[in-house]
Amino acid sequence: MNLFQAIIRAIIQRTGAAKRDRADASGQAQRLPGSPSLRHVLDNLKNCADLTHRRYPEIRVDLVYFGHQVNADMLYRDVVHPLLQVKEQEVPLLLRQSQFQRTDDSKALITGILSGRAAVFHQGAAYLVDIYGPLTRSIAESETETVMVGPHDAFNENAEDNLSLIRKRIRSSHLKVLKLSVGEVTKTDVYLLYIEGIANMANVRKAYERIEAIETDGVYDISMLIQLIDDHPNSIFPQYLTTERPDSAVSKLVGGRVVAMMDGSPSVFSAPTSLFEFFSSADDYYQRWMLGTATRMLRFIAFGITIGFTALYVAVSTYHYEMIPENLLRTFVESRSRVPFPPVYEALLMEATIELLREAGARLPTKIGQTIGIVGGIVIGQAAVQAGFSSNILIIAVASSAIASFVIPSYVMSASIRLIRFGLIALAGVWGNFGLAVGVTIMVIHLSGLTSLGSSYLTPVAPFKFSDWVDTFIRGPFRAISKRPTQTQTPNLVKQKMKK
Amino acid sequence: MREKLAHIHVVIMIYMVEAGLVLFRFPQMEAEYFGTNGWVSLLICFAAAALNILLLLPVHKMAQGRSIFDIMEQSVPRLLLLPFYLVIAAVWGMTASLASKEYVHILKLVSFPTVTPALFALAIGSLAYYLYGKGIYNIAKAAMIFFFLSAWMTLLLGYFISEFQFARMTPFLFQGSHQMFVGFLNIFPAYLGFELVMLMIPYADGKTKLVRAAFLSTFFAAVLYLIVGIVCFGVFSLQQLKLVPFPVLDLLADIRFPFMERIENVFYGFFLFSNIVTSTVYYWAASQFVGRISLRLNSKLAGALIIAVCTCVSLIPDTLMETEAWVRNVGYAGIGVAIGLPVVVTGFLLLQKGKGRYGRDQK
Amino acid sequence: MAVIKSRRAILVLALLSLAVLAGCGEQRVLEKLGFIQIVGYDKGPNGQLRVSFYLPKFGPEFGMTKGEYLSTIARSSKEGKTKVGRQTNWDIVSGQLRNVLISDSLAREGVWPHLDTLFRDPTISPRVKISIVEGEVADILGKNYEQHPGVSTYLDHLLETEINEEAIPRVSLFEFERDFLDDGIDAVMPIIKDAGQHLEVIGLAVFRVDKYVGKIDSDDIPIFSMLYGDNKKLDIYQAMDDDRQGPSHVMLGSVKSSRKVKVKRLPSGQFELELRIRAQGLVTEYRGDLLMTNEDQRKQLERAISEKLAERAEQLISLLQEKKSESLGFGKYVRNSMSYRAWKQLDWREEFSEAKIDCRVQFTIQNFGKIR
Repeated sequence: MNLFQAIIRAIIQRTGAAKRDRADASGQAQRLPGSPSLRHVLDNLKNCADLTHRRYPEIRVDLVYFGHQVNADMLYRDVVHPLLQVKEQEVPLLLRQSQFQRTDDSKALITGILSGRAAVFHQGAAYLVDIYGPLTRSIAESETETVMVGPHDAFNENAEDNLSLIRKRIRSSHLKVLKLSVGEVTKTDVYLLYIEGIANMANVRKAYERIEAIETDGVYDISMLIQLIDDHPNSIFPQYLTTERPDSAVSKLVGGRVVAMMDGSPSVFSAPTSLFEFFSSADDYYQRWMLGTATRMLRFIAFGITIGFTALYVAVSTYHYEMIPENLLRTFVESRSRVPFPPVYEALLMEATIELLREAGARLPTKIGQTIGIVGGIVIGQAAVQAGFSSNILIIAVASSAIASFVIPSYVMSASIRLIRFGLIALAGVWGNFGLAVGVTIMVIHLSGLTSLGSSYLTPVAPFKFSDWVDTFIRGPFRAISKRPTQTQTPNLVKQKMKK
Repeated sequence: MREKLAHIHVVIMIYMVEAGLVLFRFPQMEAEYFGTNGWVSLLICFAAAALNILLLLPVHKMAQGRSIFDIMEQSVPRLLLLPFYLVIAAVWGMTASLASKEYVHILKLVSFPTVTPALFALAIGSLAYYLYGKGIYNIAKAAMIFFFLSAWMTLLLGYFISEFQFARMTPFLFQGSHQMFVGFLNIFPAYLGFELVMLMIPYADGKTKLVRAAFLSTFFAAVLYLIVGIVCFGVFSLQQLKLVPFPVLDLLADIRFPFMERIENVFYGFFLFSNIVTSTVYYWAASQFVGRISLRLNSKLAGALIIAVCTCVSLIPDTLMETEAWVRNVGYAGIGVAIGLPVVVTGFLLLQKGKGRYGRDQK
Repeated sequence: MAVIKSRRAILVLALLSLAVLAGCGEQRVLEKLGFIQIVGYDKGPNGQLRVSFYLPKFGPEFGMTKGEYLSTIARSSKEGKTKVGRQTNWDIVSGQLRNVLISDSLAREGVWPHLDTLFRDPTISPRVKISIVEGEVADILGKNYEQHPGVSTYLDHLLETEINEEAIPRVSLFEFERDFLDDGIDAVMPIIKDAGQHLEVIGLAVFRVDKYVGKIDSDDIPIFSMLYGDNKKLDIYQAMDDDRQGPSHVMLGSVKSSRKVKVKRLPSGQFELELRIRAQGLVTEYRGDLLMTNEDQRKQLERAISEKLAERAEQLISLLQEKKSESLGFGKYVRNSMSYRAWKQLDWREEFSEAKIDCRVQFTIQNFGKIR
């Protein structure tokens, strides 16, 4: 290193130090012992290039916020504009307005900035202004829960928007919202909603306590939240119903259930839930009751088909050939005669193929996904039969099972049921019809032990509540549905008797 | 529901316990032992069962929520009662495992002629343990579901209305019969199951009305048996009925749907539901006794023990005939317990009443 | 917690290992099976049976051949099945059996001993139909009926159609077993004959106990049906007395009939049975003088028909009495009319053959079509 470079470096270092000194000077001028310091905040949030720090040296005010977390209009209107209007001695007066909340705890300050507030520093005191306005998706129709007739708006990832959708539907002061935070790192907001006087407070308390007890770094979606608080994490069956539809959520609330939503997740969940809720859709209520009833029954039949049809095929063609009536015998045997594997393997192979197709279709971008669906469905099926890998009747069985599984409104439930189907096929392949019965028995026994937020998962069949049947397997006329579901153990049983 | 058993749950559960395998066999037994119009024997058995249920009434009334073990142990030291407990546990445990074993043998007959019954028996034993582990409330819930899954099969009998001829039933009563008393003893176990409500006393409350539940469930079982019996006697001829050991299987085999026939293959498989409930509730009752024998056993272990032991013992009879012989004998013992246990407990209760409210512990 | 987990794990392991241990249970995989659809019994040499089986063939590789016909000499049905199993590459099973055929010569000697396995085997459905063949069963099973599908399908459909039209009663293993074992009635069976290019149902076989003793022509089967029980759609051809123009006849269709039986015992010990048959039906064909729109003439026709039907009925009953075959089931009513002990002491077939049976038919014309 020669002399010239040394001199240049010294000059650079000195000017940098001067800048730092000046910054320190203003910062030092603001710091008072024991109060949250700007420097402390900036230190904590250093290396956050997205942090905005504005200074107003004339009035000795510093403004710190995340530009993308705040609503620009509100920032200008509530903070910047007033600040530009005042002189230094009027600043404390301005800062006494209600939108400026004085915060003495530096941790809360930082959390506030992270939550979309602007921090205003003046003379050693810090104030937070709530101007949260993040980027959100606009209210659009849900992709997974669509109805023909009925509202088409759905929740989005912003809790504020979601709360708005619910509040505007329930204009009652009895609708209460409790706020919690989950995730040590993500600190996600969770809101617990219930209608006071209808919901059973024990359920509310249980849900609240469980959510509070979650200890984990981050929760990314409400379905993840559910798995952290449910009674039986090892069961295939989902124990809380999730929905993206505000009208469904509202009906659950009015029924006496607790609904929870999470910032960042477009679904909400309701509790306590029964197995039969997963078979009902908002559609049922918007159509005439006879249609609703027929559709519901169709769903239960579809449930039976989707778990049992292929297994029955396997059982009959492996063990119980006597069950085939004469007119079907020829078709059956001819279609099986070319297949080199026993029916169990054939069935498992085909089912696995369908699962692969389904999963692949879910991952591919829509344009290619559609083609794969057609290719997979028609071509592979046909080719498989002609190549002798599979029989016609099995293709029909597998296809019907797949279609029937989509009839079930809840996606999570139909995904769970897919697993059961494989189990039944395996059992049928080993033990025929007896295996089928064993499989169903295991499923029933498992279901009997499930609870959702403490109440039985199989209500109203077991425990037997006949008055609830009018809205479970059938959708009775509204005049008949006069009571709230008993599962919620509501103190207010009869509908339309709610005092304001 | 989680706290106390509901009335209807007990009704359905006991009904499922009672309506068991005997359904397949008894028309033949009725024909063989009782001759023409043998189904009337069901009414006689039902009357006897009703009387037996009456014996439960004083137990329920006087027990006032205490379990029968507490009652008995108040008057007699536990050690003395041990052999008594052991016997009852054995009888009930064997009832459960033999019911399953018989189911397996008939299954073998219908669908799987060469499979060793041991495998199926072990499978059913495992299922029973699985259900047992869920506790009596959940057993009741499962029984409800099983009931709805299988009760509709009764409607299938309507298929035979056209075949039914009153003339075949003849106006004679009990002609061509022999050993009617033995027949009675063999058919009466069809109604056993109600005595188990005695063990549910600590799990029930005022609304459960255990004895009434026992009566209702037995009544429904009787109605079911009666319908099946009458249909069999009207559709089969008497000699034919004597010849065919499982008339109901034949009836089911006769039904033909356009897309499926020989449905007895499927329906007999679904009969597993009823069988599981029968076995599990009897195992549960037996395990209560086993649990008292050694207080160190918690309920899961007690259950595992009784189920394992009884299932293994049930493997001893190899063939259908041997199993049926064992079933008969255990059935006789079961009748003894059904009559004896309430009598004994009532005896203790009266003794305690005589001594004052709480017997020896009275201060 | 750990204890419970391990318990559950044990349970799962136990179930899984059972599944594996069971291997694949006992499989009867569909395409490896040869389904017997018809079994036939003929008299064979040395008092043995000729047991024949018909197995349909499936699959394009078999082309026009519709089925496989196997036959052997054996002492019993199941022995025949075992023997025949050695001749074929399929695993022969009986569960899809549809029809049983017995040659008339064999049937005359008694059918019950040969049918034992059919009742005993739980895989054989009780709905299997059973019929007599006039001639040799083996001839039918081995034959290829050009205009018709394979023998099994052809025969089964033929019988089913006839049963549905109430031209013959349904006789399956279940009915046969029931009536055979009931002491108040004897069984019947349809008779089939090979008529060259096709099969034909030519009559009804009546049994005494388990021996084939008599035949009722197919023309008279509707009369038999009327006497046997209630019917819904019989077709009856009735020849009437000649009128001015020559022979007259009437064809009755969709005849609904019901019967009532009254039993009386005369002091001599002889039985007197009173049969009242009420029938009504359509006139689908009429060759004769009477005008049906005219009420008197129609009533006259009805009376004539009733008389003719009653005549045929009595002829039929005489035939049965002669053969001592109580296939009409009157025995049930007789049994119900007396005490059990008395019934047991009775030889009903003897009594039946000597009973006085009075049959009266009351026929009503429901409508007679578009012309008078």
